Amino acid sequence: MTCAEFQAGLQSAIETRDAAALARLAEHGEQCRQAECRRAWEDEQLLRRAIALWRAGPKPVGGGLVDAVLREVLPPPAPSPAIAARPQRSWQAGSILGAAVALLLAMLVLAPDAGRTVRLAGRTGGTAEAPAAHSEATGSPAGIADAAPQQTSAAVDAAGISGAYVGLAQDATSFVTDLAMLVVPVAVDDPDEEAATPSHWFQRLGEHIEPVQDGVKNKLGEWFGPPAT
Amino acid sequence: MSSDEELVARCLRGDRSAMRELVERLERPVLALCLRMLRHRQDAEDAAQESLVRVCKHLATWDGSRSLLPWVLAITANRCRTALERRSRRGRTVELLEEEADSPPAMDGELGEEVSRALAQLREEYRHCFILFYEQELSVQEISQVLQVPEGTVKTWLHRARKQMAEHLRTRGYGRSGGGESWHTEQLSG
Repeated sequence: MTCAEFQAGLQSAIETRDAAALARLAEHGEQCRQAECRRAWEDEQLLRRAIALWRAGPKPVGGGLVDAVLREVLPPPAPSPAIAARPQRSWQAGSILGAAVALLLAMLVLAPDAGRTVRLAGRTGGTAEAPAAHSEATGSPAGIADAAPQQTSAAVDAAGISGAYVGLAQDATSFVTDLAMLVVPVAVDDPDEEAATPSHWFQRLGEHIEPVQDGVKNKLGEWFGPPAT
Repeated sequence: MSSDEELVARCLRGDRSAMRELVERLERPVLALCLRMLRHRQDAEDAAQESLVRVCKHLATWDGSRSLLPWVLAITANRCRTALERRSRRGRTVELLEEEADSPPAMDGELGEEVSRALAQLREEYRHCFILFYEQELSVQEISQVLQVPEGTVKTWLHRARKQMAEHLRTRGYGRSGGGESWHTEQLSG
């Protein structure tokens, strides 16, 4: 083997990772008197050892890299069939709750008018507020009947009308809110999974509406007494 | 362990566990390449994540008749180049991972670390070529695909990288010193 063949063969063996070819070149590399050949062979030996140690060094660890990539790449897990069926129910619940909100607003608009009617009647008749006070004391619709003889006919009419308004609004609110609570799912399998779904939002809305309903009922009770029967 | 082709086929069918297996399989070589090319931990992790996301999203475009890893590393190398360009445009100063070049000569047991030091001083092209050849164990042909240069260029870069690496090691006290007769694998200076 000539020195030129050795040099070319060494370069080729390195590029192709040909261990057998390297073994064949070893004899020339170790025994050649040419400094260039010996130097090339020594460099190969040194680099082989150094690279083996370098490769055996600590490997990089990507803490959380896999999960971060998968979060970006994979869509969130498909919901269970029960959860998947909820959007339609949520849509129904949304419609019903919308109607409830509309009724509540209507009730709030009507209630002050009714209150003014009662107060107006009180000024003309003098005793129109008595039924409300009495009904607070008795806590029953019968209070109105007990107090009826003391009222003027105008006051009776006004109280009857306002009571009917209030009763209608209260009944409608109760009906709609109860219906919404029936439609809105009460229990969920996985709170985390469900946290951002519309169903959960409606459930929370239902929970928030209930005390409002109670508060409105109490306020109306204070103003007008129990609804007329 | 399933082959790359089987694994990719499962991924393309929407198999979530296959996607996890694929990312876990590629995580180490991708991150290693990013670390070697960018020499900055945070930048490397960002580039590795971008690369792996890109790989997963474009799996359908992979030519199954070719090896997967070179294709993945080509994407990774592109992301790293983009990161390097971004870094140079911003003139950002980063604390690179390389060791101080003028640190005391290494002991024989630290020969591997000396390679890391030498790598940091190589020209970028030589370093990428060296890493892809010796760390990722890609062939010359695969490296030419990854770096998008002719195979002859890869051979030239690899040869020069090896030559400069050997010179660095010799000046650091390893190997035969200046044509002398004895190996300096033992510590030379104290």
